[in-house]
Amino acid sequence: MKPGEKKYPHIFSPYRIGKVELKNRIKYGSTETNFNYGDGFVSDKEVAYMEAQARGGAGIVTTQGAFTDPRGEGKGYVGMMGIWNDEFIPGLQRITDAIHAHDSVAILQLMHCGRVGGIELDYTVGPSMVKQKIRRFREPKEMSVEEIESCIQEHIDGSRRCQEAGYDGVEVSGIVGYLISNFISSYTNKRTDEYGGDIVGRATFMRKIVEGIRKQVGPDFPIIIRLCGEELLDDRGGNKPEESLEAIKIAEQAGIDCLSVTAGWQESAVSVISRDIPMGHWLYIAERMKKNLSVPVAMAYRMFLPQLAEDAIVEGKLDIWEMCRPMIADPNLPNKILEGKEEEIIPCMACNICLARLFRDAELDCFVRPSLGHESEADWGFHGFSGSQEKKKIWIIGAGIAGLQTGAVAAEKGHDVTITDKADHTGGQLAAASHGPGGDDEFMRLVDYLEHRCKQFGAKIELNKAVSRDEVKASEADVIIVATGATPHIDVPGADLPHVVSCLDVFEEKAKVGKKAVVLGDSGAAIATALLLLHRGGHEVSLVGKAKKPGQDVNPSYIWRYIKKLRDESAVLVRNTKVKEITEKGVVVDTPDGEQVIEADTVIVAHMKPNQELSSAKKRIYTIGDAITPRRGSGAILDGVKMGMRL
Amino acid sequence: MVPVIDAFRCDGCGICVLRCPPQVMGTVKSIAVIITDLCEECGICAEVCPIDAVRFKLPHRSYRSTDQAYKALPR
Repeated sequence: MKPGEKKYPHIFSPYRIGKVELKNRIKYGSTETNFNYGDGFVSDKEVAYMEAQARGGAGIVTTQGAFTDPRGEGKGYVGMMGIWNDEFIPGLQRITDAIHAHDSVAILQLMHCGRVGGIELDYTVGPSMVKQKIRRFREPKEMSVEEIESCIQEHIDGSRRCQEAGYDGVEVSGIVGYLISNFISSYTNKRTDEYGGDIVGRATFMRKIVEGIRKQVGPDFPIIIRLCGEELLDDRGGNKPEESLEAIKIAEQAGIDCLSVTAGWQESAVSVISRDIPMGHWLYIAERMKKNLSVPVAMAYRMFLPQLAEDAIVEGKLDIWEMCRPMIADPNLPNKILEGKEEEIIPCMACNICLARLFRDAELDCFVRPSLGHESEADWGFHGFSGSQEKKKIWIIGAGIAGLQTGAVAAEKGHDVTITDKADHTGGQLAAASHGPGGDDEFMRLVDYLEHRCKQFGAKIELNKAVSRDEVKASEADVIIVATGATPHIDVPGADLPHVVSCLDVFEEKAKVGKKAVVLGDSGAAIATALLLLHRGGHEVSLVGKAKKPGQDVNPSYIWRYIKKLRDESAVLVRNTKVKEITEKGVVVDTPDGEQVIEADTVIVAHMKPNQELSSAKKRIYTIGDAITPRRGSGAILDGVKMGMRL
Repeated sequence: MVPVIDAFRCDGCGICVLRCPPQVMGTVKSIAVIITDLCEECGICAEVCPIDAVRFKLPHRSYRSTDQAYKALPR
């Protein structure tokens, strides 16, 4: 018995969907990648990515959604797979083969993106013309009954191709604003014909698809459906949870074998999958489904830890542990849990960079795993880095995430690695940021993972040791890497006054902050500081900066809620200003309306300046991470991996 | 996929340089450039360019399974 089977007996017990046997209860959930060709044909990159997901040990591996219509109305992502013609079958078959090679169950997802589709068209389609709230999407056209019927048939034809391509089952996506959810929701379906009206009418489109597919694929071929358990669209007339449940019951009667339940739409004005939602928060929805249905229930959404899933299964809240982002971050997650190597799992930070890239028509990307999309390229080390022929002595100065990441890769390659940091802990700025509110303590999972990897491969970590230029000059290391990060700095008169403090010290509670707090800066660091102070309470916070909008570096799926939170909690955003001077009373700024004084008991500097002093101590020194130029954490990890690859 | 600046088309307006989130762009000879090693491939430069001088498109066409060239590919 493997350690994981002992620790999580339910997750690793065999299970079944319909008549299909699963080796465990882990499902890699469908995720778009934008890795495929623009005409919908499967690319080598996609096959390598899916192979990695299957190799990682999940019982079920679901492909990304494939669009079913030749017009491209259902296509919501530029690199989305197509399944509207038999010509796609050979490519889709390559994915099936890759999944079957690792003894996993291969499920193909059919997806029509509805009002968030038509990526290459100047319109989208939907049950009714309901104006878009998100600028990216084009206005929907109301579908005629003929169009609806041919759309249903296209789904059925898709299921036939799925079966012909060798898949073990088919999944239909009807979540987050895709076509089926548009029909089911009272927010987007205003029809008065048989496809609209009450929830039974609104679910007709979905029911006909499921019934049609069942007729096509036969009784033994599993059909999974992804539906919303709660739309979280109360502010714009979406379904009530009871209506969502009613629609799901209709799906069950229509012949599904498994439900994958979700929460929220892309248009929902509340957090759903970001870090501020505690892990396991949405489980109550799965529990409600379990109580009302007899088919197995799967759920993803902020369930990153196996214990949560194990407990949920034991408590009868869940049958299948589904994951998207945690397995984008580490496809080997199931096997690592099974083998009792949980500390080796690359932890997802719920940063949503993956989503942000998809919405910008770019390929999927990951903060914590730069090898994403490079699974077949040995240099990127997805399957491990092979030993270097020449063993070098490598000295990394700075144990922030860039330094640790380089150290981990270099040590895995067999180099003699020493990482030195002046602080008494590893993690640098990320460790400081982990004191922030809204789930930011999860940042320590990444720091701990990186530190574990360094130690696992024998890298030495020296703490409490400041390094001087002379020491660098005198060093006999073959390679010196400066990863000293950045520190808050502002170059104005008065910056050395006692009430001027660093944002990092505020995070680590090394600096006291008075009632009136002024944060200087434009970046995410400044916003995070303001949010932290509001969370601690007792402060009047102003955010003062040069840029028109703060947080240009922050992921779009986080920035709107950050700004909303700042506004809701009456933080004052002072923009388009230049700091002239800091005085004992406050901050003197130049604004378009002339000079102003912003009163402050404490001035917090969040302008980050690279620490490059050691970079010029001698020739041929490498500089990585924020020590080159301050960026987000993803930049530090990317630098760290790239640096490691070159050693 | 790192975006590519169309040097023939770029007029050096500098909007991309200002808007690049990690601030890893600049201009050389009045043409935008990207420090490719530090590029995070977010595509904002392509999105903000007013004259479409940043190429950031995924490969569009593949061989179809019925194409002779596709059939000849090693399996």
